[in-house]
Amino acid sequence: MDRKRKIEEEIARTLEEFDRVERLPEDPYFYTRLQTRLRERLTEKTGFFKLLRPAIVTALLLLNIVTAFFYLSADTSVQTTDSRQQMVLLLSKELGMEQSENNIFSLLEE
Amino acid sequence: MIQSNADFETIVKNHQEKVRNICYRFVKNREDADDLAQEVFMQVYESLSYFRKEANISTWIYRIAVNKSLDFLRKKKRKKRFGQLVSIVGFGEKQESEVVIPSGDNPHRNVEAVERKEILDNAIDKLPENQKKAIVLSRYEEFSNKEIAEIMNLSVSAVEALIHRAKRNLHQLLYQYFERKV
Repeated sequence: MDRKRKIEEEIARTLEEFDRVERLPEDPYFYTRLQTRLRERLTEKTGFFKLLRPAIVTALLLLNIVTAFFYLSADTSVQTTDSRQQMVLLLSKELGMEQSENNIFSLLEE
Repeated sequence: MIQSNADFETIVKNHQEKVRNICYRFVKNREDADDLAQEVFMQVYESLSYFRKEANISTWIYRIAVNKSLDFLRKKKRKKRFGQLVSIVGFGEKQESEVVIPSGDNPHRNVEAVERKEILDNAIDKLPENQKKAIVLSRYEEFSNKEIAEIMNLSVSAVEALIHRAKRNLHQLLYQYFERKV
């Protein structure tokens, strides 16, 4: 019982520290320092965006050049194959027939 | 709404002491508290256009202060854990904790007071976050339950319940501590 009372006393004395709270002293330069920080942050932001704009423009320009290069150098010629022959082969395959079996194919070949 | 820099200056001057002290209650270091308080007002400056006119600007500012302080503590805990891991492995520098030197008037009283303050702070640190917020704002900063409810975006009855639970848990934590000492 005595031990419990002592513990409770210690707890009460510790909780009294809530009433002896230390407050920070006033800082007369707080707003001045804040203004400096705000100005620095604003400079960082505008500096960053100023760099970004020409970088984006350059990137777009490069992209256009590369695209144009690949487009112009691409082989655009159409391979001439016997399209009729290809169609005959395709139809034979579809219908499950031998090419020579069906008269319609010979019509196509004309 | 901010009309000019003069308005913002007024806002800062009216709230800076409270904000600095709120931050100090949580982070317990003057330099960190001042730094955080500056960050609070920078956020206020950048977000003022989003602030709803019908809300109370003071409670909005104090809410930012509380949230930034707790974010800072979370980051510090993660850094500390990482630092301890690194020092165990043998790469990092040894972690140094802040030493609080009592003032000279009554050295015995002051050492005892510092120790008790530290015991109380350690117990508060162990509370769940919402209980910690409520008890710190209530007992240290003497906000009313209504003001705390606005800062924490809770009902008054919820705040009352939090404070009640916080007091009960604090008592329990301190009992466990002193049970080993007495």
